Amino acid sequence: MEIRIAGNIEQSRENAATILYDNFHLRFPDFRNLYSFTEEAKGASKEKLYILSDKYNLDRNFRDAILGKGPIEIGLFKAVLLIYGWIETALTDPDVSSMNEKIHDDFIIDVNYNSIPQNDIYFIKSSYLNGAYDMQLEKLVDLNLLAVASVSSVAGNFNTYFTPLVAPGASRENFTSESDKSGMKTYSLWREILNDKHNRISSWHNNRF
Amino acid sequence: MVFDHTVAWSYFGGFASLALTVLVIFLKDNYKRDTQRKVLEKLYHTSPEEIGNIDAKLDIDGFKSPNVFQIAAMWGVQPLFILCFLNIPTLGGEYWVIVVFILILITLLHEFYSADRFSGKLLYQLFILSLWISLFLFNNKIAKIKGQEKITSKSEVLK
Repeated sequence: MEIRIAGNIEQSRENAATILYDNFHLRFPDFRNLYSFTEEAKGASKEKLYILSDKYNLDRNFRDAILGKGPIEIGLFKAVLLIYGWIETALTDPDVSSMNEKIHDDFIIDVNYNSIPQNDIYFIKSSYLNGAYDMQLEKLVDLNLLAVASVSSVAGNFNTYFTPLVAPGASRENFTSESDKSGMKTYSLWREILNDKHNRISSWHNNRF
Repeated sequence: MVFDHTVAWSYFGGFASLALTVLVIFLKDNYKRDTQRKVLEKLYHTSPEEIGNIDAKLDIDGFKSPNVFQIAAMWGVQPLFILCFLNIPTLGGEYWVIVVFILILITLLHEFYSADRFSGKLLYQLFILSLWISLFLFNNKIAKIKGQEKITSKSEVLK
């Protein structure tokens, strides 16, 4: 499944933006509108997304299809909105480092303003993207534990992986693949990513919260 | 080798305080994991594809099953620091002040950086353990030298 946000942000914020999702084209009159949609969709449940899509005059078919979607698909759709809200300022910045800082070893919280656990997205460290872990990362994407994000901006194209909002637990046997018969390499990579995420979030929590 | 009684008792006290900390954190983490497991088991009936394997899901959500050695390495530096700090007036001496100064640096580094990062690693756990043992032995040695100095000074007074 692929979800895309298309449009030309750098020329002017008045330009139209579109979200391509399955065969739905969700049109927004301008980028400000899209941004406020991403802000309102933070922490929203399936039902609230339904109401929001009415408020923003989105495709009727999409609105009806939302209620039939599973939690993983809804999580991915919201992930795209969250990531857009997170990198919006970096999209128009010609400096490569501002984007690299945002989409590697960092996290976004899907704040829901309730006293229940807050879900989050975590971007993996850039050291895993040097090509040595490609097979294992692909396997983790197959298991729905990771998702791919590609961003094209003024500064160039960026590819990264992130842990989605809803990641189902995969038991130890599922990690085996053709390239990795015992599944040990993939599993230890996954443990490392989880540790990185824990360190990143707990250091933020301990030092800045 | 016979140990100095005061030093041995003080280190036993430090060890007991560490053991209590580890016990409390271990039980707390286990309790959290168990309550979260019950929540997930309820959710599993409504949407199994969201939860998947419950144990793996608990790991993803950050409710890890606690590891005694990891917790001990994480909380093991503070009691040792307090022990050595309290021993300054009784043991005195330049060497001991240097030891405490080095320990201050290790404690700072541990609290701000390495505790979160490396306490799960075997090598770091061994490092903390060796710190305890070596400081215990060193403390004993200094206590013995001090004791001998006291005896000689007393005998000089008697003369």
